[in-house]
Amino acid sequence: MTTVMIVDDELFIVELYRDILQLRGYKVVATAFDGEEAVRKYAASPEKPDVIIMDHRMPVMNGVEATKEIIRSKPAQKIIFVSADVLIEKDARDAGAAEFLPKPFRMDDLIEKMRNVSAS
Amino acid sequence: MRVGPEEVGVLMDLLSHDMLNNNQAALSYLELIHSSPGADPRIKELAEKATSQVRTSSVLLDCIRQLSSYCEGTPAQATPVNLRETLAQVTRDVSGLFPHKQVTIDTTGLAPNAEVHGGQYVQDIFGHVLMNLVQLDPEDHSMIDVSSVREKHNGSDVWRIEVVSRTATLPQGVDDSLFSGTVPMDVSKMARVSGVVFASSIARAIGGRIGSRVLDPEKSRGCVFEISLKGVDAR
Repeated sequence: MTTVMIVDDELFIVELYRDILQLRGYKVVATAFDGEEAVRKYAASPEKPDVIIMDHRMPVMNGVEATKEIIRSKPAQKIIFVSADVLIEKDARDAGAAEFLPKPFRMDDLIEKMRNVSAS
Repeated sequence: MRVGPEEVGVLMDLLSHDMLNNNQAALSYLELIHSSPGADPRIKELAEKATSQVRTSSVLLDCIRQLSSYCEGTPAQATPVNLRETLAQVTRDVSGLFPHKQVTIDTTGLAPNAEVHGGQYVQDIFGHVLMNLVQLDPEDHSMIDVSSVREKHNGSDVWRIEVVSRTATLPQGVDDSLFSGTVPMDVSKMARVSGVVFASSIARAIGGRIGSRVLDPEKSRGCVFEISLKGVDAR
């Protein structure tokens, strides 16, 4: 079963992803509400998630910075960057994100990107 | 009290960002209802209608996000774009917004070499105009023709693009002055044409303009939006 970490500062968005991913057969193994918490939890977890879903605008540390930190510690980590800020796509990909999904998106699009990055 | 445009821009950006998150959640839960195998077909139909409304709301939020970037003083992109390629993308986007309508946008009247300045803004202009035309069209099948004519204005190339619907109806009171930006904007007349009014502001910001007229004044039916944009000079 593909494991997922969700990083977003909005509780209702974290719950949304969790609801839908679990219904589609994914296992949510960790959540974080800002970039720093994500980096800390990621470093502390002995088993890394297969995929991280990363928001951009978050307090303390934004998604691009968190992505850089996580990729620095594990370059092969698959991160799907999700944001309403379409102009941030290049920065997200430069930081190491495997995929970028602009909000609002269809859940099927997220699931397809999950499949793509899991298979690659 | 007076708040500066930069601050208004930041606030619009912050608020619209949060609203897009709300729309994301609403859309996803509606998607779940719609794809649920055991759901009542009537409920699915209602979920689809709600989805369409939330999608339109997201497009309007995108407008607010674009406006916020103008308030913050983001420089307009002047990169050249091919009109046929732009219209192909816009046609896909607009058709996807109206799942209950058939939308046919015929761009064979566009010159293949028609290139204008304006980058992403050109796509935004046509997106808003076409979306508005489909909304103004009472028919289930919206048929829109797009054609172009190259002209010279003060020695420079200008592409005049006509966007024509034979069945859409312009609301009463809508005329060129609404899109000119030269008269005080009367919001009471802007009902149902906010997309075109927004598009005309973008067009003026990149040196173009938008006008409108009724196609068949006798029957008050059909409408034409005329969009003039700075052309890329022929080499």
